[in-house]
Amino acid sequence: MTLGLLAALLSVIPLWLLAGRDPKRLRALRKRDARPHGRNVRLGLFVATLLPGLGLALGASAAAFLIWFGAVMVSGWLVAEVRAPRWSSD
Amino acid sequence: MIKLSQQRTREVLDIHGWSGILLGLLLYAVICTGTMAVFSDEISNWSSSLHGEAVDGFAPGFNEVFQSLYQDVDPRWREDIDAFVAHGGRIYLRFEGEREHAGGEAEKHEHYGVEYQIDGNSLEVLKRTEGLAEDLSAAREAGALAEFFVDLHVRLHLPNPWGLFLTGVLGLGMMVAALTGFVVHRHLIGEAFTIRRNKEALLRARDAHVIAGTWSLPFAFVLAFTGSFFSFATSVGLPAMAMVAFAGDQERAVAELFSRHEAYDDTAAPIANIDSLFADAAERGGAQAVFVSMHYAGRADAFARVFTRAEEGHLSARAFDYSAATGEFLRENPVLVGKAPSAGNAVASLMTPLHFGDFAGWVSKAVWFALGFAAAYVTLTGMLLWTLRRGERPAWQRMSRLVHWMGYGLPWAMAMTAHAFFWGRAGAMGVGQVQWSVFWSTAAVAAVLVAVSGTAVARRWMIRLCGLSLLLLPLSRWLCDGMSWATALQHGQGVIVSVDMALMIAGLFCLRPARRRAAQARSIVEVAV
Repeated sequence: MTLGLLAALLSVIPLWLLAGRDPKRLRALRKRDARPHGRNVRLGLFVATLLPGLGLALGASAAAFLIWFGAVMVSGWLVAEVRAPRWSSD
Repeated sequence: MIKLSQQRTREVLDIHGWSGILLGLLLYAVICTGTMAVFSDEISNWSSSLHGEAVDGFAPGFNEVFQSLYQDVDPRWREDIDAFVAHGGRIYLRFEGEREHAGGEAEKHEHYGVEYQIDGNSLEVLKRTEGLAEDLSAAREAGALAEFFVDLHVRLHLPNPWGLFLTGVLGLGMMVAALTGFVVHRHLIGEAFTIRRNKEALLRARDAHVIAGTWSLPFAFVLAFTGSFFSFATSVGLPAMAMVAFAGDQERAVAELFSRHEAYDDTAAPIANIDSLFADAAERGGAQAVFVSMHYAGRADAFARVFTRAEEGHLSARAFDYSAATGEFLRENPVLVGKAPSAGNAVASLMTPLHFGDFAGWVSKAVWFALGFAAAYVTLTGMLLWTLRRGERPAWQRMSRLVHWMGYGLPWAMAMTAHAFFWGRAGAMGVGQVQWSVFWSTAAVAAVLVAVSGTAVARRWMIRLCGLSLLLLPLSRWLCDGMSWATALQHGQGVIVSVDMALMIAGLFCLRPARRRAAQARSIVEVAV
């Protein structure tokens, strides 16, 4: 089921970029110097995240699609954790 | 409208919260063990592997052993014959029939038979067990460790049907929580990347909980729905249907639903070559045959249903019917429900891959394991947050201790249960009892630890001890089982090395950041209190 995993890897790239300049995330972190993504860029990255899954749903197998979907959900969680600033004690 | 005093309102809220948390604790146990159960096949292959080449499906030549054992078995126990491959390359061959109840109760029958455990490589008989159906199942010690986790997940080791009722209700509760969580907190989806680690500890903990919950939400719903389906299907659905349509006779209901009997013909007939059936099913199904169920063996109307694994790229296994007398292919049968393809069967057969994640080998299992881990994390952090926010009140401090005991004590007790399996088997003790004793002893030690040292210190120790237990598991396996990594790799048993390495990495992960976690936990408690 490498197809599902490959598709998930393709989805992680826009997901990573989406997280990097997510406006709410930057606002919460008070990163005033970083420019957040505009609405169109965010929409584009969101669609780019979904595209590999759409391809699988239309052309490949249900198994590959499910693997893609599950892997993207887990990756989203990991991306949010990894891209969060390092822990600091109060 | 009922008017309540402030004190009474507080008490009612406490009852509400306590009941929610108690259900949450059970749900956490179900999710934790379910996450492990995703790898139940790998766990039994790892813990009970036979010393030989890895086995995948029935070895050619099985027919000869099958025919020979068939002749040896008392004809009374040849009514139903099942054979399947499991637990580190063993073939289980079971002959079963019905006999009058041993207690002498007229009209009552019980299932009785003989089960052989056969080495999947050499086809040598390893063990023969004769007895009631439950004795035959209990004799499968090779699968005892995986079975322990699966049984805890499926029915919390409670007797049937009560355990299934309870886990079904817990599944429904999880489903409602996922749905209402989505409706009430849908604004949080916009914060799917926001973890404020630069803020105070409680806020950090809340963010970590919300993020994991947001990303695992769709699958939490799917797992809860399919889990409830499995719990209620046999504990409520089948008895209800049998009561309505079959005068309460569940066996007849099952037979009507799943079996298709050819024209009655009890003329004596030999059994077809079973190797040919497996080969034909594998060709049609595009994957190895792993299970066969045979009825009316020895008669002209005998039939066999052969199940294959899910074909590459597909979600479900497939089932093929053959005449067990002539070996003639009869038809493909729906795997789960009914005798002909139907929408009901299509939906029902989706439940299995969606719940177990076993449709594409280790890849899909790894994804499902991660999703289960996320769900367990969300449940535990949710309960911790709830109790910590109320940490100034003694009643909630007690509940917080309970949450810590379950949250960190359960994984430790599960790891210790695996040690118990190896050492119990090596010492020729009853593996099931040793597992139980060690599981509950560890739980008792964890309870004392929490009661004596407080939640923050106990948490740190339980994580350390869990890490140590996981780290030492490969050593226990090697000392008790004797299979080294070199031998395992030589025989193509990569599962042994993989699971050993995964356990060691998990153990090191638990041991490594102990200092940082301790500081974090302390600061959360300080903020909450």
